[in-house]
Amino acid sequence: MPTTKVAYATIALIACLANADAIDSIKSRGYVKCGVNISSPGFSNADMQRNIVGLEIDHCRELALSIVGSPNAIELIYTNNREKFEQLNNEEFDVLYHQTSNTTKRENDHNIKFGSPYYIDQQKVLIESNQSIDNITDLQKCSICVGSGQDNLNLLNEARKHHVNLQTLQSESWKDSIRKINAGYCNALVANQTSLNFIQSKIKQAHNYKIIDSNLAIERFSPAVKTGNERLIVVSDLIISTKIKAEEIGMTQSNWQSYRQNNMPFLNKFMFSHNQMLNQKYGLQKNWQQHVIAQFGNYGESFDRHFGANSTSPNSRNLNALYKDGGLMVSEL
Amino acid sequence: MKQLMKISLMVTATFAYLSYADALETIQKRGWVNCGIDIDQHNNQVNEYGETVGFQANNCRALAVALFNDQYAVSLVNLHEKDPIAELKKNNVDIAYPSQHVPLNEILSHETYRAKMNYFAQNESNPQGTGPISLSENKDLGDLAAWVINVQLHAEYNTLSSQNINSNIESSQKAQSAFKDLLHLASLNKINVSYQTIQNILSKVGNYGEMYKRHMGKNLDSPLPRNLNRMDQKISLLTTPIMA
Repeated sequence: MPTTKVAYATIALIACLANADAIDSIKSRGYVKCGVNISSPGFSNADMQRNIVGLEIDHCRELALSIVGSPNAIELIYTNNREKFEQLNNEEFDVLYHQTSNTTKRENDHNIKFGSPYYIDQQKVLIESNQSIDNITDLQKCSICVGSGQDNLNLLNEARKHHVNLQTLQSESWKDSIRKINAGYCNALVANQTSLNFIQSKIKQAHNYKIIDSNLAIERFSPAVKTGNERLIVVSDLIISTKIKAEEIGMTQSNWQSYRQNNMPFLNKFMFSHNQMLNQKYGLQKNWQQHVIAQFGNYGESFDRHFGANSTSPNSRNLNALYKDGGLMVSEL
Repeated sequence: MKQLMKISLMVTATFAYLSYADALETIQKRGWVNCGIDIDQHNNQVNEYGETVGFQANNCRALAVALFNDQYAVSLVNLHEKDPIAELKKNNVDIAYPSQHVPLNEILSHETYRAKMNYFAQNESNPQGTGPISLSENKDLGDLAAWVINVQLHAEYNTLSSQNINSNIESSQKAQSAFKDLLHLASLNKINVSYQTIQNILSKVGNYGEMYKRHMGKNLDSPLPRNLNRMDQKISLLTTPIMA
């Protein structure tokens, strides 16, 4: 009989190990491995002290805080557009934060799952202002640089729709985009508006360039995990929704404690009572929501820190504003 | 002893498989889907012919078309003033389309699953989304419900409706190019559907816009504008996976 018990226990252990996912690995390892870019101002970039900072790094730290209990329990693994999905599948990191648009095609092609977006951008076109180009139909016979990590499908679809014949040239990085534009290899550059704003500021004689008012696509930058690690994506969704909800109700890094006394049943239930079942199921630390807001602030505060007027990559909220302010940011809570 | 252990393991595995895998099969065998909706003065109502009509009722009917090619193969269970998650847990409904927002943490805490939100209501100043909820163990049903919503949204995006959907959908180049990827997505998720399923849904229930207009929009005395639920070309809360 003891042999039988041991056999059952072994089978249970094997079954348990076989079902281990990224959250289990993070907990046993003690830190979160995030696949990131290193040269994307606002998202993930070295500051003056050579620390890697940005909105994506904050999200990585928030995951670590919620699962392991410390925002410093992270390892940043630098990746690029060519290898990021393969590295994610090889489990070189747990989660990818790399300005990657959430598309079903990518999920299907690369066996990955995206979560809720942490940043929403629009794909646009930068051109020299002296060219008489006002919209996509004026790009006939132009040579277009396509920004690093950007898909040229939207551009080609729009061009086809308007019977525009153009050539595309892929850039390796924003520095490569600038080099190609400065060298006259391309008449225009297609990228997300945030990158274009930054690139425009780095081009020689930036005032000679303008971003035309055409929206090729909406880019929903979202974290991605390998299929099978959906619990980790759920945690990411919960964190993003918590931060958006906090902004919706006016809760900030500095005033969150005052909300404890407020008569808001939903808030009391979600933010200030211990949901053991939810936390156990997703491997979350006690009071993780309070810690996230206390240490990183609401969504608007995170945005301002990395894209606000005093940041290295100033951008207006645009689509990242709350819905009531004209954006597309909505909490699922 | 080893033989006994093997048998008991096989029996356990078989039970585990049967209890997990077959929510859709149970519904198929039963011949109709039990669908929970709010039937009250603000949402779905019973019309003069005794038929329950409304936005969520139509969601249920579209799902019934996908399952049985019959919009009436559905039992609409009134969830008014009831907790949709509790009704799912008690197996009183297979799927719920609540009119009120259910927070994500509630859904996750109770082993339930929402694959997609298909209606956003303006609550105070922020939008609150609703969408079909199933038990997590019946994820297949939730995924099918989300796929049906995507078909209706994608049809509107591509200007395909009950009025112009070709009865011979497979010969229509426009429909082919509009739905090819959605069908591929369904096959990857092991959802058993075809072009004919899409044709059935659109001809019997219509696209998202038609459904909205019929139950929320211009056909009503006090229509609700599309606002949050508009289908702009690119900027919208409502998205289909292929548009994204």
